[in-house]
Amino acid sequence: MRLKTASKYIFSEIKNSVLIFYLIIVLLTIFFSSATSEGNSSFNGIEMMSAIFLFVVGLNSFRKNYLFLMSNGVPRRTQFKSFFLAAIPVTVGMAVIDLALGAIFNRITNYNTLYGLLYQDKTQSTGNIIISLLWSITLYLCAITLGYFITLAYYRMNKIQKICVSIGVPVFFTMVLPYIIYNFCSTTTVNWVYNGISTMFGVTGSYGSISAVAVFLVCTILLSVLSYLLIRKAPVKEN
Amino acid sequence: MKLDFNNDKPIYLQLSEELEDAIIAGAYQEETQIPSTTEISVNYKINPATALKGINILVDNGIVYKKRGLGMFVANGAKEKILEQRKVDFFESYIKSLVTEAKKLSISKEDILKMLERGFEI
Amino acid sequence: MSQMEIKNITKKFADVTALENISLKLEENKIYGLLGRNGAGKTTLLNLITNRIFPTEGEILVNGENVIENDNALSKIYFMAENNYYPENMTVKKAFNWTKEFYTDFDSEYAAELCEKFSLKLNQKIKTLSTGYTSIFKMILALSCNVPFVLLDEPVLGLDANHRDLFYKELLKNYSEKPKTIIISTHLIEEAADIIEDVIIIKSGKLILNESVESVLSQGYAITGSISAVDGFTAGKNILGADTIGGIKCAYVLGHLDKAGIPDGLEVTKPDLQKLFIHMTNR
Repeated sequence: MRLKTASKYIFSEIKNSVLIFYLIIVLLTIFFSSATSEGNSSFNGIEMMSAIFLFVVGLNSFRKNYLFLMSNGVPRRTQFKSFFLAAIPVTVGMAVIDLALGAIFNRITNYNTLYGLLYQDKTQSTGNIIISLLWSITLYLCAITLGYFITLAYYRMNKIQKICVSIGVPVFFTMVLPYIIYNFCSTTTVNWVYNGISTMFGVTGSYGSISAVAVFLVCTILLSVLSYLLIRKAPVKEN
Repeated sequence: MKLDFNNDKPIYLQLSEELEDAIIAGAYQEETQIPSTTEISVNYKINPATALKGINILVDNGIVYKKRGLGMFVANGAKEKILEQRKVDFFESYIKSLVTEAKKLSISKEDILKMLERGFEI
Repeated sequence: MSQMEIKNITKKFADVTALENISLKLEENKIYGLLGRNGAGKTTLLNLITNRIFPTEGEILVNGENVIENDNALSKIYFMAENNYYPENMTVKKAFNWTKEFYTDFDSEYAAELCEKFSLKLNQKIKTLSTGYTSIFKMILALSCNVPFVLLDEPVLGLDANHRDLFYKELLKNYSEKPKTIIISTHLIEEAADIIEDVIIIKSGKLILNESVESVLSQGYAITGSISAVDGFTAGKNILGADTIGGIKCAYVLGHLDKAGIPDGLEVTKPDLQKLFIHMTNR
């Protein structure tokens, strides 16, 4: 009962921003298609925008909702479940909308979906549509869960931990990782990793996009398990 | 009616006395209803349990009685009963303390009697 | 039957002990006053009861069920907390609607009625309410929820005298019509003294008193006289504290008073709850 109400609440919090998001997308498309000459459009792949948008939604989905739901006596476990109960219809809905918008934009301008660009797949068979839908859904789910996990992790950290992560992560990616790659990795290792990632996401290799679906799904599950471990004992904090 | 929260007496005793005073004064006639526990509680901002305790003293003394589903009513002859009890209390609470205080101030019995007479003349 | 049992609760924040081995039983349909000085641990206790935080040791049971992550137990408690966790642009009306979704027995009509009495506008945004009206808003939610346990943390914060008066009256009316267990945590002891039935006093994280107000008041007395006479009389008794002005001492004592044994020159008076409280928590 309260699970349903809690997910209804979280859904209602997400709903408005989704509407605004699509309003902006449609306006941008109209702007681009009229501003640029026919067949010269550089506007492609709204899936990426959707994924980034859902990541941000995920970032905004924890703290406020958690405190509101806690003050209404909703247990953390119920809150955790209700987040996914709200997130899944949003991601499915957005995947369908993006597919439909893609088809419409394709008629109007020279538009390509991100999926189409990545997998060079322009055949419109039903099987392909389903896989491309699954691909979007799992990508979006992964994005929103990542955002949720990050705020949750920040919420559980104390000041010192927050500072360490905030500095440590950028430093690792901009300095430590390049340093390691330049000094310790041979070209073959780098290529091997690059190829590995490409194969994992199905861009190269024989598995195709379904492999990416599996990767997104595994990431989502992993992130949600970690999120569950973090929310399980999360206290209400004053600040 | 007024309750004095700074008084030494417990609130429920003050309440029962106030209700008795109101009955003596005729504010609540015999066989008429007195305010409910809730009304008293809300009006004086006191816990309903305290209000109930005050009313129960009156019930125990046969001053008011409960009519099922209607509320508390002033019993027949309640006024008489209260006056009689008050007269007994008068000696205990006024005369005794008067004498004690008089002894402390070394006022003689004759002086007290004179004062009493003066008091009645006012 | 609804009852709450707090069993050997200890709460530590890092190396600070906020509550130490607190055990309490809250009976059904009673109004409790939770008293203690600033930082004594009152809010920590209320936060533990509603599982907003986790105890270091011990457990809290509602009808025998541990409150931790317990939907059933938590839905029986409404906590009017000091902090306000409502979204930025939510209106009073919207908040009522959502609360009704979470607490199905929420009485919307009654809530609207109370809004009228306190002249709180339904379409006003919660975040734009003044301190006093924020208290009023939260208190209306708490009174309208119709749950067996209502916890009020400083319910009259920022309320003017008229609204405080109205609040106490509405609280008592609500309690009389729909009995429930209410815990009021407050600094304004004098105002609440006649409303609460039992008093729970916490001092530096320890439970120092859990008794009916009546028995506390009947047991406590102040004795005044010359210093030596007061000291002589109170020797061996449970002295809460004392004031000394010149050669006159006034000692506050808790315990049975044998009226016949009071020596001449000493005067006995009944202090109010506030006075007793100040002396109990001052030591």
